[in-house]
Parts: sequence; C-alpha cells; structure tokens
Amino acid sequence: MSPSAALEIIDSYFTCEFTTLARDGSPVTWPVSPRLLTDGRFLLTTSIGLPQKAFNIRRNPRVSMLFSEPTGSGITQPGAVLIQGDATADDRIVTDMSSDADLDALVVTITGRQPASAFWSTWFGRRLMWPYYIRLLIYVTPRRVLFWPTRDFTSPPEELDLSEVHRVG
Amino acid sequence: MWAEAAKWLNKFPDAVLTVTDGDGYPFSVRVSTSPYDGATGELPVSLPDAVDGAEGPANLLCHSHDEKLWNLQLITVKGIFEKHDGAWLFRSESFVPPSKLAILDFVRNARRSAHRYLGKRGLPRPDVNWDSIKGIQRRAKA
Repeated sequence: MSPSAALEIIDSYFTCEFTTLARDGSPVTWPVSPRLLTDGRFLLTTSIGLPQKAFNIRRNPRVSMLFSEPTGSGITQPGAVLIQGDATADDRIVTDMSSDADLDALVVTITGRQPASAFWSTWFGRRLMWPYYIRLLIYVTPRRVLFWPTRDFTSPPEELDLSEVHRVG
Repeated sequence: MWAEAAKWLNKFPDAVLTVTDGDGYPFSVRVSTSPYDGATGELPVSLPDAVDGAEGPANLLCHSHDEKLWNLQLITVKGIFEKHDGAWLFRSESFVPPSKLAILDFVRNARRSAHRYLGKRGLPRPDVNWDSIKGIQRRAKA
C-alpha cells in the first residue's frame, strides 16, 4: 500500500521543497514542481533568471525533495515523502517547452494547476519577465525514498524500495 | 533580535527544516514553529531516528500557496543545527523579512541573473517558442 500512497502524494502535491547545497555546504531550499518519470528519475526546471540551483548541483549533485504541502492536491489524509538523490543540471538552455515529451507533460501539469501563470506569456508578461520560459533542465536520480503515512515527522518513516517509485503509463 | 523572524514564522503552523545527514545529503522534515524563541532565535526540534549526523548548517523554510498555486508566500531563516544536552536545536543566524515589493525584487533579480547567465556564455537572448506555450495552455485547459 505504501508505494501507491507515496506515488499519489508525489503526483498530486503541487510543489515539493527542493534542496541543493551551496558552496559552503549550507542547504538552500526552494519550492518547485517536479515530475516523476517512467524511469524513476524526476524532472524539474529552473529559469536562467534563477540559476543558483543549477550552479549548486554542478558543484555538488546531492539534493533532496520533500513532498509535504498538500494544499490543492485533493488528498484528505495527507502524508509526506522525502526523496534524496543525485541531480544533473546541464548547461543546455531550453526555450521550447514541447521539445521533450516529459518536459511538455510537466509544463502542461503546472499550467493547469496555476492558471495565473498565463500572465507570463502575455505581451506585458513577456517583456517584464522575459527569462521565465528560458529554462535549464534538472534531473534527479533517487537513492533513498522515505514515506510518512501522516505528517507526523517525529514518527519513524518507512523506507521504500526504489524500484517501486516510478511513473506508470 | 529574532522577534521579527518569530512574527513571520508564527504566520505558518509549521516549517520545513533542512539539515545535511551523515552521508552528505540534504534531509528535510516539517517541524512546529510554535516553540521558536523570538529572544534567542532557537527552535527545539524532535527528529526521527532516520536522520543521523545532522549537525551543521541548516535552514527553515515556510511557504504556502492557494488551491490555484497562486498567492505564494515564502520566508527562510538560515542557521545552525546542533545538539544541546542531548536534544536537537535549530539556532538562527540570519533572517531577511520579505519586502512589500518582493515581486518587483524577484523580477529585477531574475532579469539581472539571466543577463549574466547569457553574457558569461556569449549568448544572445534566445527566442521562446510561444506557439508551443499557447498549445500547452490550450491542452492544460482541456
């Protein structure tokens, strides 16, 4: 039961708290919207206007993602999932959000969940925040997955089998 | 000194505490913000046994969004995570309260960073495929 409950959380929560490690080793945490892929990796993106995540990953690939914010997910008894893993952030700049099937699916999901983001493609939005759709791709390969059936983080989490955490279909 | 941080933290029922574990990976859990001491900047924390060797740099993140992933709020407190008398403690080191013009700061900083990113690589500003964005928006509404 736990893998499917964890997958529902990963798929339904709008954001996760994504952490990279700065040059001095301190964690830097920011909400992001990732997508779990069929091969078990996660895809997320960042604008070239917010490149620090990518810089940190190129220096130290160790990252984590905590799925713990259930607002809007429709899940009535929310739990939490922590992914620890290794990330890559190539220097390739992407400006066509449909150039890759996984990226396209991620942007469709975010756009559907955040209708107000349409502002960034209006005449004014394009001029104001022109880097918004100029993006870097970040892939995370999980090495450890912990699951809390409730959001009681003082209770011991359940460690899930990595092979069970991937998108189906 | 930490009264302002306490005021902001208390707007949220809990915060995401992130530390680095014994293997060198970030590790995050939610913790209650109510025990945060505005006089000392300290927050006592109970951690699950799954975390080991967590002493060192840490941060607290509070964020929220509405059902439409909008009205975003976010604050961060940077600090140190350490053990005192056998109990875990987050000790604040820096906090910058969000500005009323945070969105303008965000946009200005993002534009500046993007210029720098392209400039260092000798790249012109690339064209975005807006037809692709419009197609995605149509499919997202369907």
